[in-house]
Amino acid sequence: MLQPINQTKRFSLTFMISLLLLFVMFTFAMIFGAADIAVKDVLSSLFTTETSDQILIIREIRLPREVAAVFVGAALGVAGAMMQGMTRNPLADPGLLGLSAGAYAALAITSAIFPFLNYYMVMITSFVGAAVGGALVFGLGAVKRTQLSPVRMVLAGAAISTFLYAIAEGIGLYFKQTKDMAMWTAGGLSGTTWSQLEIVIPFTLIGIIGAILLSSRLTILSLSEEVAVGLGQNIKQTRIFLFLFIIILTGSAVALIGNMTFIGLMIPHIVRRFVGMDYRFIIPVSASFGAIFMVFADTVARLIYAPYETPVVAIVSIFGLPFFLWVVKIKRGAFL
Amino acid sequence: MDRLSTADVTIGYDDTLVIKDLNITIPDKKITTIIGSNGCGKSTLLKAMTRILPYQTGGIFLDGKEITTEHTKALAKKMAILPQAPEGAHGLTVGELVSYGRFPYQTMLGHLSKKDHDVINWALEVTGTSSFKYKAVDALSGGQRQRVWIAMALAQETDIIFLDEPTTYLDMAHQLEVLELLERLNKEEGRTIVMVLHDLNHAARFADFIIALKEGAIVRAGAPVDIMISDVLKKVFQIDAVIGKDPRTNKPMCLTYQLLEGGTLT
Repeated sequence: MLQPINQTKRFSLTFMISLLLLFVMFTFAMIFGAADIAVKDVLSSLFTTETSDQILIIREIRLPREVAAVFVGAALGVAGAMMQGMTRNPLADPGLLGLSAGAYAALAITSAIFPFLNYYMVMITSFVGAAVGGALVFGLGAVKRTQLSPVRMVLAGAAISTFLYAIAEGIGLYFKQTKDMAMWTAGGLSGTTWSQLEIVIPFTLIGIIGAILLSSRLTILSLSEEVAVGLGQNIKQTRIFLFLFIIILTGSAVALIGNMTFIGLMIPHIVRRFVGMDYRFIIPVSASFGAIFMVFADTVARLIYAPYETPVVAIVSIFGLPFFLWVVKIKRGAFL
Repeated sequence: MDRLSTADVTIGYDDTLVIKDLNITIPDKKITTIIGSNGCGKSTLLKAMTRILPYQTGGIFLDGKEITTEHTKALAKKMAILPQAPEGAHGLTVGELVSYGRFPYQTMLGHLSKKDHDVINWALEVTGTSSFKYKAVDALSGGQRQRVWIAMALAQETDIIFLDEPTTYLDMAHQLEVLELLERLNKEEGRTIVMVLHDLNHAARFADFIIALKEGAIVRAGAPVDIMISDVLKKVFQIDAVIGKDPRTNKPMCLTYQLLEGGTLT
C-alpha cells in the first residue's frame, strides 16, 4: 500500500519551494543582462535611494520588466489551468484557443482608431477581444452537438486565431502601424513601464484571487458535469465566473507581452505532477511555476545573443511545441 | 409520507420528447428500480428527477417543493446521484474523491471540518474502502471503484440516493457486492434508493418497487410480483419469459426467455 501522503502538506511544500525558486530566479534575472550589474547594485536599487547608471537601469528597465514577467507568467499559468479544468481539455491554452489572438486583434483595431488611448482602455479592449476570440472558438466547437475532441478544438482555435491575426495584420498595414505591432509581439516585455504595471497588476491579482476562490468548484466541475450538478453546484454560474477570470488574466497578459502561447498549456501539466488533480492546489502552484518559467524565458531571451534580444516568444515556443506534441502523442491527451 | 413524486412531467432533448406526461411517486425508505429496454427513457427520468436534465412541462416535487425552485446546494443535501459509469477521477486518491461529497456543506474555499472528516471516514468504512483511502482511484478494480463512488454519494449525507446502472461493467460477484451494499444502506440506515438496472432478476431480488417503462411511459409500477409477469415483460421487453421463484429468496425470477415470435424489436 502507498504511504499515506498528506496532499495538503505536499502542496504547501511544493508551493514554498517554488516561491524560493522564484526569488532565486528573479535575483538571477536582475543581475544578468546586457549591462554589467553587480549584486551590490541590485540591493542598493531596491533598498536605498542612491542613484547611478547601473541602479537606474535596474530600477527603470530591468525591474519593471521582470516584475511584468512574474505577473504575465502567473496569469497565463492560472488561465491555462482554469481552461483545462473547465473544458476537460488537456490541450487548452489561452493562446491555442483563440483568446490571445482575440485580445491582440482588438488591440490592433483600437490602437489604429484611437492611437492615444489611455492604458485602462487598452486593458478593457484586451479583455473584450479575449472574450470574443474565446467565444468564437467555443462557438465553433458548439456547432456540432457532440463535443469536439481536444485536438479538433485546438484546430478550431488555430483557424480562428489565424483569422484574427489576419485582421490585426490587415489593420496594421492599412493604418501603417505594423512596426508598432511587430515590436509588441516580438519585443515581448522590453519597454514595460511602472505606470503600465500599476494598471495591469491589480487586474492580474483579481484574476488570480478569483481563480483561487473558484478552485474547489473547478475541481468538481473537472470530474464531470453530472457529478458537479449532483453535488449542488450551479455549473452555469461557475462557468461564467471562470470565463470572466480567464479573460481578465489573458487580457492583462496580452496587454503587457503581446501573444504568448504554450505557457498556459505547459505549466498546469507540470504542476499536476507535483500536487495532483485538485485545483485548490493546482491554481496557486500554476501561478508560481508560471512566474518562474516566464522570468527564466525572458532572461534567456536577453542573454542568449546579448546585447541583442531574442524574441521571448521564440524561447517559449522552443519548449512549448515539443511539449504540446508530447501531450498529444505520448500522454495521449491525459492530464497526468 | 412519500417525499418524491412527478406530476405530468414531460422530458426531452432538443425537439424529441423522451418522456410524456409521466406520474409516479417514489416510495420513501424503499428501494425503487427503473427497468425497460434501451432508449425507453430510464436514464432520462433519473436525470430529470435529479435536476441534471431540465424538464419541459409538468413538475417534479420533493417535500412538496418543485425541484427547479430549490437552491441546488440545498437539494444536494437531500439527494445524491451517482451517474452511469462515472469517470474523470484520474489522478485523485480515494480519500480526495470521497471528500468531494462534502461539497454541499462547504464554504467557498472547501475547507474540511472535523465533522466532514468523520463523515468521510464513515462513508469509507460502510463501503469497505477504508484501506484504499490513500490509493489512486485509477489503481482500483471496477468493483472497488464503484464502491468508492458510492462512498462519495454517501458522504453527501442524503436521504435519497440515485444510481444510474451501478452494476455496469462489473462481473457477477461484484454486481452482487454493490447491490448488497445498497440493500444494507436501505435496511440499516433507511435510505431511499432509486436506481436504473438492466438485469431483471437483480431488480426483482433487491427492489421493493419496480417501475417498468416503455417508450417514455409507464407500463406498470409495483412490487416485483406485480411486474415479473409474462404479460408485463412481453409489453416492456418484447420477450416471452418463463417466470419462476428464486429458491433462496422466494422472489420471482425470470428462468428463461426468448424473443416473441414474429415480433421485431423496436
